[in-house]
Amino acid sequence: MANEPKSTFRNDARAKVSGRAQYADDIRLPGMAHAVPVYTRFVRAENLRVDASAARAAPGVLGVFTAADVPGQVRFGQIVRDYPMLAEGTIRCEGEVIALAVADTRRRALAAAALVVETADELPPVTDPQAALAAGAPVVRWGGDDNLANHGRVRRGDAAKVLASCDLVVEETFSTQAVEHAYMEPESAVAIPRPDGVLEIRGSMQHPFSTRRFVSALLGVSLAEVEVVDTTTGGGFGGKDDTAAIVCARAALAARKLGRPVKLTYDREWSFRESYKRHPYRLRYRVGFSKDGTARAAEIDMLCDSGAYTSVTPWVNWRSTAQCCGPYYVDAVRMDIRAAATNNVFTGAMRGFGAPQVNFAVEQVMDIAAERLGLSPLEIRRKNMVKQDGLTITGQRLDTHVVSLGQVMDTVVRDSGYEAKLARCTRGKARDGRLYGIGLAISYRGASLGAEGLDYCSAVVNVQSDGSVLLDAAIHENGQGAESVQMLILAEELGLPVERIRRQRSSTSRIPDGGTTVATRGTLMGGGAVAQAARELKRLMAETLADELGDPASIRFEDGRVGVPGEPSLSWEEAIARMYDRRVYPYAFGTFRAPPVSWDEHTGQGDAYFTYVYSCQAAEVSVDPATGKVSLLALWASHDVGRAINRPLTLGQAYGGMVQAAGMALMEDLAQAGGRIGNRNLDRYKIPRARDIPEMRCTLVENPDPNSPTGAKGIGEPAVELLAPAIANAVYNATGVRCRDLPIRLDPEDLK
Amino acid sequence: MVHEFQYRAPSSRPELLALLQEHGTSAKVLAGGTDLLPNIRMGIAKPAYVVDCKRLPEADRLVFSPSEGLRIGHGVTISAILRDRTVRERFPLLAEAAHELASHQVRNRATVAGNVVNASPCSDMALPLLCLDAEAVLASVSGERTVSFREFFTGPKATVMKPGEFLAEIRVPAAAADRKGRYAKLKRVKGHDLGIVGVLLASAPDGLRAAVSSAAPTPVLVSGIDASLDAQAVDALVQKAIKPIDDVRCTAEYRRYMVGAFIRRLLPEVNR
Repeated sequence: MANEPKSTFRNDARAKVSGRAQYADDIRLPGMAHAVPVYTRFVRAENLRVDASAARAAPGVLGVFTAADVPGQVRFGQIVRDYPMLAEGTIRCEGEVIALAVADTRRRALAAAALVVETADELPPVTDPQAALAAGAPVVRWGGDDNLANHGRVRRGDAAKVLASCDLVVEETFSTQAVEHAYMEPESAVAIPRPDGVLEIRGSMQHPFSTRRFVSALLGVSLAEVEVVDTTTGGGFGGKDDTAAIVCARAALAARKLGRPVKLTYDREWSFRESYKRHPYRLRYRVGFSKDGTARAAEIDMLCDSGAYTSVTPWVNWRSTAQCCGPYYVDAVRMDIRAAATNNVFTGAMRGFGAPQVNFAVEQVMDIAAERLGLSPLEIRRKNMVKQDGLTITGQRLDTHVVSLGQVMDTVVRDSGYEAKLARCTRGKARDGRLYGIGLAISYRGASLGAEGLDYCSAVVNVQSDGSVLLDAAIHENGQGAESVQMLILAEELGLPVERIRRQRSSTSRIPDGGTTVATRGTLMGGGAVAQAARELKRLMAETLADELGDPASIRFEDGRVGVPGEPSLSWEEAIARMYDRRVYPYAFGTFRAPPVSWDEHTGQGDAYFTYVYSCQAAEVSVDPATGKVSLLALWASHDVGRAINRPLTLGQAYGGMVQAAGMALMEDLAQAGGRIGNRNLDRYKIPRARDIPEMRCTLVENPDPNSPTGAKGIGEPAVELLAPAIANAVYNATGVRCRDLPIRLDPEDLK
Repeated sequence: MVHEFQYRAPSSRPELLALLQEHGTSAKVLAGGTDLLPNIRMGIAKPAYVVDCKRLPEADRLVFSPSEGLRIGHGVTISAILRDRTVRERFPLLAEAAHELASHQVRNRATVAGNVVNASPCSDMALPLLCLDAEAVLASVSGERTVSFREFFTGPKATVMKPGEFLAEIRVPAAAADRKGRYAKLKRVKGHDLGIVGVLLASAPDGLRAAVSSAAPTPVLVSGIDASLDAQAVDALVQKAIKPIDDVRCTAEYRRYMVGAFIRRLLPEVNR
């Protein structure tokens, strides 16, 4: 078949496996100084005073900078500009940096950091979100007169009235924990004052354009005076936005002050201490069903801990709002979510973004209701799931793409042998000393930003005179394979081998801001922009060469040739040479704008997202009744990704997401007490290892999305958002014990 | 990372002992370094002198003779214990515990001596040494003394060792050869992790022995247990000897419960 797309490719594989990939901390420049952060010793305090005189006099020290040295805005943020990049006046959490010590070596910078003297009036921290919202609680929110950081809602019908007439009302309370992203590479930045007056940043981050905004704010310079250059990044998972950008901004401050390059590299403890976490939620659900299993009404209250600063809490909450009933249609819904400011570590974006918490509750409620009504978990899901051309709880009609929730669930049920295994679950009666269970969960996930923000992205295709191709796009390579996917899309569009293409090293000065690399939008938006740029280039070439090749509308780009099928054609190289001969640059700029969405924030109604990813995952577990330990025996998944462009990487993301979700389900737990994190390294904060993970099988379902230029939707976040409730349901089916809190911990006394 | 120290690597025992005598508590002995170096990095240990003991010719000595028993030099790594055929065949308890210690990489560096000198309540190697009546040979400029591991540990990270003393060798009596037992260690993840609690149950001429880690300020040994007792009675004896705490890994209550669970699991295997 012509243009059979290559579907396995990774442009950075060789560099990474051979250790030649250059991360920010690998950069060494002549005259480069080293900065380290100086942390507060308080959790909550006022009247902060910082005396850096002894530190400034220490050997090798080039400067010690505090908030007083900031030429621009000390405070910045993506929604509320409340985060102090260097602490001033009031300390609100233990992650606050009171000064930046800079010396000729890192060792000397660390020695100087220890000499910074901090005094302040200590206050008792507010750490419980419920208490923080109680009347009379001390106000810890910056610029606020209470601690309510956000309030989101859904109002659809009269839920209270409908609930009163339901045959069954399931009333349950759940909680989820704070989770650390645990990206392999901690934050790192190198800031370089260039002779042209531009400050260049190379650093580990997810969002070069967001980073540029933080840097420009702190320095008080224009966006054009800062250039953030793409640097190999060792993972982000949503966690390399605010904090990573602030690390870059601090390095920039020191570089600007000293007129020399400055490196600031975090160690794991600093990263744990300062970087934001996944929001811990408390969720209360009251869901009413009729006897046949139809979910008729829901009253839902959620409370989440926003920590000391706002970050993207309102956006995270918004997704919890739009998806508060999981992938089900419920006619009457009253939902409120409140976020409390506390003195805990701040919370922000993490892969899943407000969905894993909600799904943990909803997918257990469905199993609970099914059992009480004498229905199977599959029956109750089939009855209530969103359907083709049907409505969502926000009043959106799903008629622009294939709604494949039933298809993915059937796939997992088939792959896992769910029904036969469900009958074999032990329900608390151990067999051969073990308890056995299987459980599943389904979800739908609005792709990309939805009504969260303006959603568009661009790409540039620049063909050189020898026919080789340079590609640039405004979606960042975090380690997920974004560049490889972009290159594969371009190769397919142009009918060229991917080897003819190079992904140029991007920077914020070379391409327009394409939005952040978040929200499962990399392939959808970045890949979409590449496809649009390629199509723009093909249109330009077809029109320019029409006199030679024939009807522009009939010209095809296939197998390295350009022409109308059955007519004389040109090789790609000949076609490009003709373009240059005619003084027409084979250069195209493409934009993909997401289709319009809508939202009424007072009622929580509207077309929340322009498309959805449909998912099902299942887990098979064994529980040791003597220890309460849960072992995973097998994991299954099926996701409708629209189209898998790079199949092994798509599966890799699915499997990686499942491992991350297994960690959230069974082991990860930030030990916070009094606003201090007790487990600030990976020896105490445990994430899953290969030995903790069983065989996994993911079957991709591909219903190309008509609104996506490539047909692809995405996989990043769907993969992580529903395994925890699948495991919780499996644990219930094994033990008869319902686990409402994360991480799942079983008391062996309950298993007797 | 900021902390600076002087590094010394003597090539004879008298030289090493003289350095330890001279610098007292400001010197720390470096064997595998898997505890000392992280502690220095985290600012928990701030030695002025780090004295590497691995260049002593007898460091890696691991020999068995019917007259002297098993002699484990101060530089013998956990991996060396696992590789040694005599240890595996005659002192299987040592191999049983060594298997559970950390990860392959750490086992290649960490030493048996270092594991006990560090005196963590969760020491893996302390348990078989307690069950095997092993002794520590402590050397200093004023001579040698021998201390049973039953008296060796005095608290979390504390031992009977005095400033200037060096754990030169561990001796396991020949009479303890061929003792059998089973070790169970509860961890948060599979693979490398500190134990939440560990139980080694072994048979000895005076009855059963239960050695428990992470459940008291020191590793605990309960000996002379009547082998005909049932698991509940054995558990009752052990519960009296332990004193677990709540910490970041789990609660004291869960530790107590798990000691019982492991005794119930291991007892039939040891009595078989």
